[in-house]
Amino acid sequence: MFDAPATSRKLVEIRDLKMHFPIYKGVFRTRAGAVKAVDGVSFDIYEGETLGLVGESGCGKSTCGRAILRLYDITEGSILMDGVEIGPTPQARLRGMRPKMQMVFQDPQASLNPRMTVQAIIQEPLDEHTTLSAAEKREKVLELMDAVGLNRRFAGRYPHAFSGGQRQRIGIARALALNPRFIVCDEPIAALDVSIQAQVVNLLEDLQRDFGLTYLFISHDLSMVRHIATRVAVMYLGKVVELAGREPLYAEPLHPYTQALLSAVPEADPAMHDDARRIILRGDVPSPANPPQGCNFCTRCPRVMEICRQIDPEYRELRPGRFVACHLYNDDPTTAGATAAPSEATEPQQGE
Amino acid sequence: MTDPRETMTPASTDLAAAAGPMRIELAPVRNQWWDVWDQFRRHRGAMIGAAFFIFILLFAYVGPQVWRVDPGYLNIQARGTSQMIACFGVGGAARDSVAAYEAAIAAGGAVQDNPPRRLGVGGYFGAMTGCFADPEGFSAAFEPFKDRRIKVSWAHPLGTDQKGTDTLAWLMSGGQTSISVGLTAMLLSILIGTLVGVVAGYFKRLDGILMRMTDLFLALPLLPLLLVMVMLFRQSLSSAFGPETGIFILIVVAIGVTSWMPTARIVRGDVLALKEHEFVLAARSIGTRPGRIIRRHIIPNVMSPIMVAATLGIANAIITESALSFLGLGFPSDYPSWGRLLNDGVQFMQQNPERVLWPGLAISLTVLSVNYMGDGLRDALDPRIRGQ
Repeated sequence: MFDAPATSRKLVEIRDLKMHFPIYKGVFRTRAGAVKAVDGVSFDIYEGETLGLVGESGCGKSTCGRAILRLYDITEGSILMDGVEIGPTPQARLRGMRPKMQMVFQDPQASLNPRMTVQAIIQEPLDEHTTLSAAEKREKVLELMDAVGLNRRFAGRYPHAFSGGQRQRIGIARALALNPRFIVCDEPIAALDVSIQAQVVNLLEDLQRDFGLTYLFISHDLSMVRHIATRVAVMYLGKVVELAGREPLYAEPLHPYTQALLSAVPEADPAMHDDARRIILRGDVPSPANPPQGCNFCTRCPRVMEICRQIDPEYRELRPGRFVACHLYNDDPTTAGATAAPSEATEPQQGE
Repeated sequence: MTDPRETMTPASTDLAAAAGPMRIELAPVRNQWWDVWDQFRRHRGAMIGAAFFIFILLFAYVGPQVWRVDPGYLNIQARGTSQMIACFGVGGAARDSVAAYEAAIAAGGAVQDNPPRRLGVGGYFGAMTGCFADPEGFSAAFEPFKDRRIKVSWAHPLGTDQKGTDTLAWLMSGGQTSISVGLTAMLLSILIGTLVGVVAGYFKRLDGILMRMTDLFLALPLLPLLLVMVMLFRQSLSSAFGPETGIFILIVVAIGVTSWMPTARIVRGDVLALKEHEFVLAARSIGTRPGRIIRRHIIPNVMSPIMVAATLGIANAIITESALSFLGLGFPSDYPSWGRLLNDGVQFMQQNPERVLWPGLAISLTVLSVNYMGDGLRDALDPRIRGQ
């Protein structure tokens, strides 16, 4: 709807975030390198918006989301959460910040302790961060269950007695318990039926409106991201290759990877489906432990140039609110927009 | 489940609906342990096991109040008494003895060395009743038949050993020792094993050193180690806590610190897997401290393997204690335990098989009943199985 978010206040600012997981080898467990799951990511999340983070499996989306919440000790970079730097802060001192930032997990089965009742699960954040009495906590839990559309009678049941969608609602209620401002939704609908996906996404939207939440919505479902996100960031092999408002991005993807990704979205209309010309990428994603020299995408890019194999393109703001990291747009920014969209790639998208 | 409440008070639900969603009548919060108990009760094996375990406990702890024979008293005259079951004629010896008894009576005391082999059913039954009714007389009449003599008495229904101590009394007080050693040593071993396993699994930093320590303990030759421990600490503990308590502590600690390793390894493996579950990550994202994560999320989910290790641990402890006693390093020889009873009986197994039968049966049935109880408890503690 909006290219720019409703308010221009930045809630989260991420600068050059790196999350490398070391690899140890040999008898002496010497460090032999690192999996560069997130390798220099910078973006802002504005208050009240939903930033969609898309990319294929293994590109570092989830790691990025978890690193922003400091569930990992990040390798490098800065994370400003509501004006407070939490990048290098030790875990013990982050505790006070936790209520502000919460997470909804991908697998609703695995994210709920099978030995705890729904009451205990939703109450856990209250136990940790509030001094409410048992009755007050119970009342608060029941209110949260109302808010996410769960029957109050289910408070004493265990997670295994619920369907996937209901479990995800429990997970959302738990994330809401401390009135957070920022929620990382890590593929919250990936494990759900399509019919349930819509319910959960609508619930997330309603809650955003009611509680003034800000989302980082991680997903590989491009149509769902198009539905819920205000802006979209595209990741490939640990880096953000493109970030733009929803409509401009879907209408006119700039980065060749984004073009390929969007061309892969299934087309519902059979006539359009036959017409759709897809960009088929060749080869596999390189290992994040050993990314190629130059641009990460140079091994598969259909429009690769000599420079791509040598120099990593700078991630920069091409136009206001439009970020891209590609050499195609580095030489002449004024004409970049015109040359950016190869017609064969964007045609099916514009039909939507 | 909650339906009866609704049908009983339809008016109140209407009112609640009218008043808004705030006042829906909720079933009172039921203590979770009642659910656990309900599920446990439905496990037939567990209930039988629990009943038998209670029986064994009563036998060992209340039994001596009923059967007031001092297990330490040596009744020289009664030594070598067989148990009353011998009257049934186990192994054919009594069948001959019955015939001999009849022959002895018929001959008015004159002894026939070669009694008739065949006996009618009626005669056999009559003799058996005679044996049960008057075992002393039966034994006396049988005295002259050297190799076929039988010695039974109601004063010692399970017989006596070669020194004349009463087997039943010994079995009772031996049960006290074995059960308390078994339970305490198991608790100690489970405690150490769970602690080491959870810490090693959860805190990566300590994993290497703790697991190498576990390997070290596994590689130690246990029996020599136990011998050294007993040698070193027996005197000082005995003087500090008295001979019996001292030895009890020594044996429990010795068994406990040499049997926790399998538990630690199993628990560590499970914790490593559990740690990666998203609910642990969720707890971390809430800001739950490691100690609470372990108590709230990790421990309840590793209860199953701990439970299994615990039930097997009791058996292991009872048997290790008997092995120690056998080597003369456990309790003093006049201090009864099932293991000692078993080991004493081994030499006489040919003549008196029941001397190993009873303690052996007691050990294995106790272990079996604890196993079944553990099985039922494990199921009852798992909410996924509960309520099915």
